[in-house]
Amino acid sequence: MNDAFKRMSEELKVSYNPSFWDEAKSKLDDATLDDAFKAAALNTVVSPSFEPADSVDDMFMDSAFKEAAPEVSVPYSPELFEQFMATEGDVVLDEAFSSAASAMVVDYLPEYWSDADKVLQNEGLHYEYQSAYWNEAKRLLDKSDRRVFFMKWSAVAAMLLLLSFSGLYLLEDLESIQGMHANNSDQQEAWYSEKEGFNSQIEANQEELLADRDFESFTDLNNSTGTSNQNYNDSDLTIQNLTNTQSNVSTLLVASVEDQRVIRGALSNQILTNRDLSSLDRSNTPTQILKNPLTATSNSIEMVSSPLIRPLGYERSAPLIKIEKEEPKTFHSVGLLAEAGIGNRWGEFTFLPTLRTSFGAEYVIASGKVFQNFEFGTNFKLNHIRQSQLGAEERSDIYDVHGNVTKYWRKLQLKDMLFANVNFFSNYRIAPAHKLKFGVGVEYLVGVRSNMSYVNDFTSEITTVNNNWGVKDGLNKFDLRFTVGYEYEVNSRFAIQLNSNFGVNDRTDNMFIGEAQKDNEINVMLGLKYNFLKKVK
Amino acid sequence: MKRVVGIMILALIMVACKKEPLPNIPPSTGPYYSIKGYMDGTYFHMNVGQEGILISQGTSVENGIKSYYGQIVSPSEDLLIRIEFTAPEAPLNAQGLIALNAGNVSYLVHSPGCQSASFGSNFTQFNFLQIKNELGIFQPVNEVNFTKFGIYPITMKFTDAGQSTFQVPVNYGFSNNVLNPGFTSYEIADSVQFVAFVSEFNHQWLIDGNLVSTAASFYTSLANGVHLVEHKIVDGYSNEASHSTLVRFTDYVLDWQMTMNNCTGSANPTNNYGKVTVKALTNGQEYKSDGSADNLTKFFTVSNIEYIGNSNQEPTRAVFNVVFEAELVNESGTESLSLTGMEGTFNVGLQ
Repeated sequence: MNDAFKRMSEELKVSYNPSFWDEAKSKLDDATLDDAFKAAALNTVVSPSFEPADSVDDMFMDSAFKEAAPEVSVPYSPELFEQFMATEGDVVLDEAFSSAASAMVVDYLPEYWSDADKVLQNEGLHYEYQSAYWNEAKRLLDKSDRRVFFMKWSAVAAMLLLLSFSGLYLLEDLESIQGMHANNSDQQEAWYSEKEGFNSQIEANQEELLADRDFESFTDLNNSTGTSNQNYNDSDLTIQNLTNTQSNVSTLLVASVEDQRVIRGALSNQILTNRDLSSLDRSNTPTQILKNPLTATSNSIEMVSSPLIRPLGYERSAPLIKIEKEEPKTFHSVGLLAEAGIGNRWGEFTFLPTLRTSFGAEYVIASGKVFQNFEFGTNFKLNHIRQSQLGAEERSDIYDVHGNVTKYWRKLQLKDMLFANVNFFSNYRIAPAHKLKFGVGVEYLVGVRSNMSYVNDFTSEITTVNNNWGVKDGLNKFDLRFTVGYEYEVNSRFAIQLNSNFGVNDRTDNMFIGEAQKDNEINVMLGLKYNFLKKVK
Repeated sequence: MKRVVGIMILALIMVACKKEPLPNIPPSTGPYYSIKGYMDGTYFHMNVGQEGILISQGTSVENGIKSYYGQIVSPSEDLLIRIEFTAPEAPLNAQGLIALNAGNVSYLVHSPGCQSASFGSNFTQFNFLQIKNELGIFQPVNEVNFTKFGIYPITMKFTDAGQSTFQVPVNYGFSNNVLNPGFTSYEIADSVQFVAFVSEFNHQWLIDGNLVSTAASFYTSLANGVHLVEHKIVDGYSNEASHSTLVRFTDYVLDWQMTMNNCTGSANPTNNYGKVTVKALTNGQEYKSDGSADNLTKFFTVSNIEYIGNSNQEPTRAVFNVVFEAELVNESGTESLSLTGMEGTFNVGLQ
């Protein structure tokens, strides 16, 4: 250093004085150098390269860049921003969809299927049923399995067909939409597969994005380009999942402060599709994403222009974009119900049960607006009650003035009773596929199969009539019946029910039967419900 | 079209089901005839139509007296209860047959008696009188002894008037007060006048079995000898009574008209028309109420009498409720049977 200073002093025609060096040395400490460096840096223009098409993370600056951003000013390059805007929709869409999909655990509800179906069709992911698929499946079936399969299900189908005969005409107008729902199960499975595929892809994209969001690479990018488009902080993307606990409709709030864009609102249910987001006006330009939960509602997503949107002379008004949340749906279902079980024996008390069967139709309505966990419905059933020891015997001796006696008698055995039953019930959903049922209904005796023998004339000839449906004596015709039960939804079509029923009134005419016992109907029924029609409004 | 087919199928199913209503059977009426009470303190109850218990009824004639009877038989209990009413003196009236009257009915209790024949002013005729006894042997007596009330045919003959026999009904204990068929005869020169005690009603006069007059009185001439004269009287309801006796003509003049009178010292018998007799047959032994004088103070009350007719509207039986007590004795009077607290519904035959 002394030599250098000497040469400098010679060139500058100044004399070297070692005290100068000492003075300079004392000033060359770290703090001084740092200050000097900072001062120099303030005078440096940094213009990082920005290629938004390569990586989504390029839009979201890291924290270091955010700190540096206010310190710098760069000329605005419209090209870069236009490139960004060209890909903005996809970026926001992917991020929102990915976040929503990963953040939510949803349950499939039939009423959502129609929405999903429409979305899938728009996405080209909806597959119509083709008979070729079925034929292929049939060929794969083993002959023996196929025989058993068809025998079993043909019997079930025949039974259901027979039982639904009476309701055939009432449901005729609904047949037209049955085709649409005929393959709901398959479509549902396909939809879930699609969804899982999406989720997997989204997760992969997220990991990739996180990797790309590395600060060093971002700095290198800045240095390499030497240009600056706009100051982007770290992509402060917050996905808030506001779950509507009643309707399983989730609200998704996507917001980013640095992007100066406010996205508020909710996404209906589990799907925010490309179609939905593509409906946004992409001509809207730089917006500012503001995290403003106070303005977020559970019913809409709003993209509003922010007063801060004045980036570098690019002034475009950002119109309000409002995505209406889909209103909760009300669904209706009509199904056939077949039950079998056991009940108490009437007449003489015994613990031995007797057979019960029941067939009928059931209508259920679930409102999406109120009492979302409740379903309300009514059913009409024909209840069959088998009794083995129920009957009456009556004898009469007619004594005449001639000293003769004529004996009359009749013996009646009540075998099978049919009651028409109308119930009104409410199902409370305790879990996605599990419901508790509470109901009340009335029953009216419509028919009795009986055997009887009698002598009712002076000829004393015995007459026997079996399988007779003309006698209802000995039974009370009306009853009020309460039901408590459980229903498990196997799938959208089938449900299993376990119901217990208790009648309030005495079913038998004690005077006729000759028993003082009160014969309340008590039974436990295991049933299979087949929903042949579901409609969402 | 589907609807039509469906409705037709449902209708067919409904129609095809066998539908026969529960037949009505008439309500039980309860036993029509029954009797219950205590036999020697033992309760018994017999309902006709149960356990083989039967009832029968009809009419009978005992000791010349018509009676209406009904009886309940229980083979399982080896018991027969019979109630029997002697016919009233005049059972027919404007309402028809009145076989018995409601209210208390007296028991018929037999008592022994004696009647003797008298021949008017001829006080020697009884010396020639012979009466056939139970053994069929004519005995020279003029008194007839009775152990039971009735109308008995007495066969007589007079030894001073040839070997002819005459059968004369003798009334013991059934005197006719409503329809008195008695008559008297008067000697008028060589003829005789028969005059009925009562002039009304219809009369029939039979002499030796030949109808000779229908007037209340008439004149006739008879050959010498003993003749049987029968006088029948019939009222407007066809109630009838008759009286038979013997008359003798001697030298074409009325000699005497026989009359039967109570023996000297014998009490007048009671009139036993319309009285009741209860009989029980058990363990092979027959007990009857007419052998016990205790029944003269027993009650036998009849009520709710109903007459049952046949297709010709002729009454065939009388149904009534009865309450009674009775003391029954066997034929020899050595054994008795007490019936107390008896009541029931019974009937008696009228034909």
